[in-house]
Amino acid sequence: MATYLPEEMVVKILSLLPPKSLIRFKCVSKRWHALIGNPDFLSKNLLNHSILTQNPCDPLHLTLFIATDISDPRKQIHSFRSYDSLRCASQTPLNLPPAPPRFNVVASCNGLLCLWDELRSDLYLWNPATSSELKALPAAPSRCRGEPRPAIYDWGFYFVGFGFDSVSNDLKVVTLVDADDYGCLEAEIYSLKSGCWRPLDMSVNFELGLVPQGAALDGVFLWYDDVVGRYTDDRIVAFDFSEEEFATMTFPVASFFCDNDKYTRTLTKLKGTVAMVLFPRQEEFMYLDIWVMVEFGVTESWTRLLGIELPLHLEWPLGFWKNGELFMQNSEGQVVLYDLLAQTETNLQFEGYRGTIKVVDYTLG
Amino acid sequence: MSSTLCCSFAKNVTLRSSDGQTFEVEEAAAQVSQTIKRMIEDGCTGSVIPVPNLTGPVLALVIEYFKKHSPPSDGCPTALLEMEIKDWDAKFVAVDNDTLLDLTLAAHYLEIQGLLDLTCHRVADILNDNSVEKIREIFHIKNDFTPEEEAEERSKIQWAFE
Repeated sequence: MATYLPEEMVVKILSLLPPKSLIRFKCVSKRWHALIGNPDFLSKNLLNHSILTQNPCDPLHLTLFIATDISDPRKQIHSFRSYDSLRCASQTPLNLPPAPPRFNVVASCNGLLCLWDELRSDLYLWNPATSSELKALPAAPSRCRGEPRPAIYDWGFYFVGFGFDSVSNDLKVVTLVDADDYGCLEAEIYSLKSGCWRPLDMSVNFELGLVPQGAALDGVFLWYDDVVGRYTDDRIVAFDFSEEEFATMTFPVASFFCDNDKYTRTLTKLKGTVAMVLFPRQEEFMYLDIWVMVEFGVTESWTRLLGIELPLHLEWPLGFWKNGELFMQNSEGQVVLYDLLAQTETNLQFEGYRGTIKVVDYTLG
Repeated sequence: MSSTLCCSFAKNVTLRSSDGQTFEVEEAAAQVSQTIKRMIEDGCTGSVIPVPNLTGPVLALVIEYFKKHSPPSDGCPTALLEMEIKDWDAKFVAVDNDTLLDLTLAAHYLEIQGLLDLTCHRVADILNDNSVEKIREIFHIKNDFTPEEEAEERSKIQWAFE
């Protein structure tokens, strides 16, 4: 018997498919093409899909908020939250040691946080579960050459990535250094196992102008290269910690926005896929455009998830939470959680200096 | 075609398929279906409950599902029992594609949430593992693209086929 399923059943079944299969099935028929091509349907699928494959509640999985203290800019404040509920994880007595104010979190991996003093360009590792002390990494060889430069002019030097090499079971820190001040980048890698730095061959050439803040994703670290002209596509630089190789990929922004230099980008992770959040540089209106790269490394697979107008007091995207809700900084320097589909917000009771707030996914090692 | 309408204590109901087959099942078990539950509450017990959208063989399968999923008479389901049911469920939907679609539709019509989730996931798994051509065959979908249109659509999303 040939069973004909009503549309609502087809929708229910299709919504269970991973995004790549879903997009492939646009070719089944015109009806399916229209159904799947509906942006609303696709965004819901992309947001929903990984819920099904998500790990159950893990008490060791935490979310870290970290920022410069409003009342004392020399101090850092932080809060560890349960990843599942975002309630304060009070059972973990995690304290950040006294630290300089321009601290940035590069990434967290296997229970370790890689921290970076942006003023002095020093790098640290910190295991919040076992120690209240930072472990300083030895200075990279490129830092020891030549005349010491005043720290204040030095901040442009570094693009730092931190991640796990699953092949040799090693944690690694990778840095890109503007060694000669003429924009020629050198790459170096630090292995936690060996405790040493090594120079890396650069297989691809970059220009300067990478945005220091990158995104970590399963053994890969990504930076967004913001040398953009009005009519050119963006470039993303990816480093694979196992292969120890750089690769570049494209975010085809120029194809979608004729005035793309009006938008700021944040490269981040949404449920295991690379996501790009675009928002206007000017503050008269707040509009977010969210894109995901459904198939890693494939330019054509960039799919627009949604474009949404936000309340004006939400200023800056800080990253995604588990079901695709977006952490945002509001105009008072507080962290709020914004539900993109329901368009509701929750204040998470964490306040820091505007522009210094970081939200980090952290798992106790 | 006759149904046993005795006034026994066991509280059975009789379900009749579209092709006139009748099945007797415990009332508690049949209430796994929200649709049947409402009909029982509306006083349809004592007579035959028609299930016009399901053929005999499909209804027989659904009743098997009812029996396995009726609330246990001796209190809470144990973890062991839950695991056993899960195994049973997996085997239950390991059927040919047409039967699976019939079961999906039956779950929808009779509002059996557990069976609906089960069959939809199974259908999605099958979709995921198959080509576009195979999907059309399974779902009996006519390809209404012209060869040129289809080639163009495919070229736009070539990456999804690799």
